Amino acid sequence: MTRLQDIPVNTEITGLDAECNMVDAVLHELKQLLDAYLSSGETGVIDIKSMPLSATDYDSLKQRLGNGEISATASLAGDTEIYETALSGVWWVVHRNIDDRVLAEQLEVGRIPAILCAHDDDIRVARERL
Amino acid sequence: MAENDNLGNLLARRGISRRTFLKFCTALASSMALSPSMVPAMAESLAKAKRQSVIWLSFQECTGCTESLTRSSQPSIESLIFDFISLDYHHTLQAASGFQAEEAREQAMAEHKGKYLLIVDGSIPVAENGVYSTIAGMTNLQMLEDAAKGAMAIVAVGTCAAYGGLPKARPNPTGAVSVTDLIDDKPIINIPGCPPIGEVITGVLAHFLTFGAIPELDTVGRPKAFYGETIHDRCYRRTFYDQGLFAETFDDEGARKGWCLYKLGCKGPVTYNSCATTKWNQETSFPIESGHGCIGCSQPDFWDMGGIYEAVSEPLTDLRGPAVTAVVAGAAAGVAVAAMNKQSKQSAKDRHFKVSSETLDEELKK
Ligand code: SF4
Repeated sequence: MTRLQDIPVNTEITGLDAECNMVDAVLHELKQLLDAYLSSGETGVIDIKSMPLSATDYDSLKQRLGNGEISATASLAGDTEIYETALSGVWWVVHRNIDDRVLAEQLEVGRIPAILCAHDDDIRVARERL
Repeated sequence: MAENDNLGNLLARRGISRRTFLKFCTALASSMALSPSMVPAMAESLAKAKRQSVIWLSFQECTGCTESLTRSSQPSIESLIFDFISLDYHHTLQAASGFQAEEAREQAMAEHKGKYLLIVDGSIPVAENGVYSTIAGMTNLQMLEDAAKGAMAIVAVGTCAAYGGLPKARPNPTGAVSVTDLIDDKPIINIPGCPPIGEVITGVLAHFLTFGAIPELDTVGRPKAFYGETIHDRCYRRTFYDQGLFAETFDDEGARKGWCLYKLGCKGPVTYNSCATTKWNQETSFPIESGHGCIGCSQPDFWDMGGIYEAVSEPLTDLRGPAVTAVVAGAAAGVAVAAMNKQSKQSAKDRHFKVSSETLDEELKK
């Protein structure tokens, strides 16, 4: 019997990639977010997961942004991977759950991604524990 | 848990850091298509949310909606929210039974008058004064009218509560109706689906707890965040639809290549739901990924929308909204199939289809 994985399923987005040009759209939005940060200190986020990026778009976005100086993994009921892209202040953040499923994927613009900062409530609990 | 306790305290007791909570909220906002810049404020507000009294009434239903909600993966914002609400009455999940259970309902209704959230799953039979479904000697109709009076808002979970669902399918022997057919003086949120996606149910609850208000709804009472687009809008097979590449049977070359299931009766073009993005079973897949077309379960009267395996040709029920235009103005290939199908059948609205394996065979031979 043919096994499920033997059945070829062609789900490649053909011919649409060039027209969609989602990567340019993301880069354009990043430019705006960086401008906003530089002029007012306002941080910004782009939700990558909810964008209709094809696998090719996704890979090329990763390639265009590259890798920077910092990377970190936070254990928060599943791993959250964070790295700075080659563009300083532009962070790639992937939140996974305990089954390694991607819950959210974002590009964050700012000095440091919010998820890395300790919350005052937790700091208060820490103080009580000492 | 004390009455005035908040979600932040529950987190602390569970040893869940605020970072983890921020992560949950990020995922929630992403699934609700909320702006990601709102997440920190949303997390702060949700952490301060007070415990919400919830009364859950189950009428003519199959318990699939409760199953869907309670099967979300742990730990997650869904399980947290579910643990956080004060579920004062739910006859499947509560420990109490008989008189005690009914007493708990009445007590919660009196104590939280005007403040509790009423969740309903299942349709309400009104034929013969509602005798077709009773709980503790009370008809569903009486129980709903009673509980609705003191509710702050009502959430109709599942297509049965939202639009009548399966019990309302022709010839509707019990006179099944939806919550909105009976109650018109309370805000009502419809979360249809047979069953609805668990993440969508808790997403709506989280929204309610965060903002203290009901989310923006479409013309048939569904939160736009989850029901704003059709399955077809976000379907990964859409490129094949646009190219006019369709599977003609469930085992032909097109089916094997993952082509569009439109000709096999996919109701994706006229169905508003977030299955294509939120997916099912911990985001494993959704029906179209398993090779079966969408059956349109979140649409009003979907059981009477013609045969499950008949291609959508025209709005068979009140579809309201842009999907109608999307189908009409769709790719030429799609329109041609639609026209063909339209000719080959009489008004599907007046027919009642019994879908069996024989029907499927017949459909496929056409
Ligand atoms: S008709 Fe169905 S299978 Fe085809 S693209 Fe639309 S939703 Fe997907």
